[in-house]
Amino acid sequence: MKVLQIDNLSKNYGRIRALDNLNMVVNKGEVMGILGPNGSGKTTTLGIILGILKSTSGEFTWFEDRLGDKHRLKIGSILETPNFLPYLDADENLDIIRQIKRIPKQSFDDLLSLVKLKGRRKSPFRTYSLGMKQRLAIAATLIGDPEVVIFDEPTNGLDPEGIAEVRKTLQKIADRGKTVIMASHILDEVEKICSHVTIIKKGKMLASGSVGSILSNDTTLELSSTNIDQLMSYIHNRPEIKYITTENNIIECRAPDNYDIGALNAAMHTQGIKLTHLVARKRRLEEEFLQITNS
Amino acid sequence: MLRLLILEYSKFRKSTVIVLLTIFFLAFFPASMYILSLIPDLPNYLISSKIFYTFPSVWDYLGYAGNWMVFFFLGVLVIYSITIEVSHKTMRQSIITGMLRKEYFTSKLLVVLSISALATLYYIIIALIIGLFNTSNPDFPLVFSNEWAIPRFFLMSVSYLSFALFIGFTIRKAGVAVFFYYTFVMILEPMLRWLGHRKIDDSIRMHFYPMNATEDLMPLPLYQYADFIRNDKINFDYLLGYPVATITTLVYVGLFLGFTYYNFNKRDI
Repeated sequence: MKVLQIDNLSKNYGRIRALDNLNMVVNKGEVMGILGPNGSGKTTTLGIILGILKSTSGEFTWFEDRLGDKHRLKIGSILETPNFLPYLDADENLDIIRQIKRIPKQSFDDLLSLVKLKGRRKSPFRTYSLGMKQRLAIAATLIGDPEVVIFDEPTNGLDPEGIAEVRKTLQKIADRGKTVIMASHILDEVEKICSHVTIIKKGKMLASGSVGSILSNDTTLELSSTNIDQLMSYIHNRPEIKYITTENNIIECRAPDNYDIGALNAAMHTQGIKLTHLVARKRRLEEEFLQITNS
Repeated sequence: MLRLLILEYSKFRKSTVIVLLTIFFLAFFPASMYILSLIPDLPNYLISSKIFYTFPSVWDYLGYAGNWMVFFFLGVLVIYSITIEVSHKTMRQSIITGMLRKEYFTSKLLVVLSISALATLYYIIIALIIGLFNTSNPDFPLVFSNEWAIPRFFLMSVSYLSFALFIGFTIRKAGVAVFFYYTFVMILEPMLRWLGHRKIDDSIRMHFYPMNATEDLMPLPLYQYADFIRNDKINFDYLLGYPVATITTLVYVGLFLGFTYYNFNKRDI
């Protein structure tokens, strides 16, 4: 089932085109990462599908229904910063979300335990650290066990410990089988948590699909030798090796999937090239992202 | 409806600013009547200070005091209840969480109507207490011979608070909104009226301004002594009559609310 479908969505802020005919589909159970540099249109996209921004053109459907407004009750979301009243404590702020979602009165013990805020539940929101605020926001998104959870830069502004905690919580949510949509420019975060990814830049979709399909099957090689010029010349003469770059006397290049590294090493040895460094690894999302957004 | 009101109550019951404004209103409204008793030399046309506290004129004097109190404290309370939601982004979070924009607007409109109703109830209670203590032989017809003062007070409150709602939703920044609210009512609109018409007796048209029409629902009772004060027969209207003021105010309330709703539905939050 399509949880979210976006068709040709555009948004102009005056003369600036923030979204340019964006298309995207999120299916039930997917953990979709929306990736893009700052200002690429990630938050604008989420703002439109969550009803706070008006699109210039195009449309979107929630749960295959064009009248999507009523479906927002089935979605838990935070956009950019945690938004709560500063003089209310955690329980009181969560209770406001509960009332908006028309859910019967309930205890928030489990949610506050999940985000490790039980001990500070009676403190006013304004006394919380940024990490605590962010975790309370995550708890708020889970009120009423929503079918879809949306996060926008959930680890923004957090210290390393806070980032690790939030990531752990996000992973737990994803493991519960929820449909998750997460906008981020932190590629490592997306690669660790998401099953699918959509890459956007300047409001346009550049790539979309499962993380596996976005990551090419090529092998990345890192090589170095006592005679770097000879090594470089040899590598350039191998037609199956592409995208050759050099940095700090390390040559980085891409070889086909299941490339026989041992045979390559032996062939170079017969040519008198002595390798001092040889690493073969799979491509990382960051590398694909940079290649896609720069091309 | 009740759900939305409870939601609003949950949001603001612990807000220091809202609590203080409410206390100020509750305290200063009856206190303003006490201040009248401190005036040492009454003008001769008033005969006695008893006129402030006896039926039926207590409705007029207390109503005029309420005119200022509602404008001064409750208007700001409504503005604050909107702008704090903008500054802490709970307005947008409410929509994200699942409220329809129509519901959000309705919840704020209900706040306006409820506060107006409670302020009117308070007005009735104070008027009855002051009047019953100071009027000798207060019979029912005398007590309530007040020219529809109670619905007029309610409409006056709704009008000020609708204007505050309009300012809050349109300007969205607390300081600027409150400044504009006070400035418009006390300076800008009077300036517009005088610049537009130059002379006080120029035309009845100069009274058809939103806040002036609202004020004329609960006017300064001393206007009835205008002939005495000027020592002359005045042959023009200082005020809109109550029926005209009522219709004019209703039209402006409709415009404020209509524009606010339309704009809130169209714009990004």
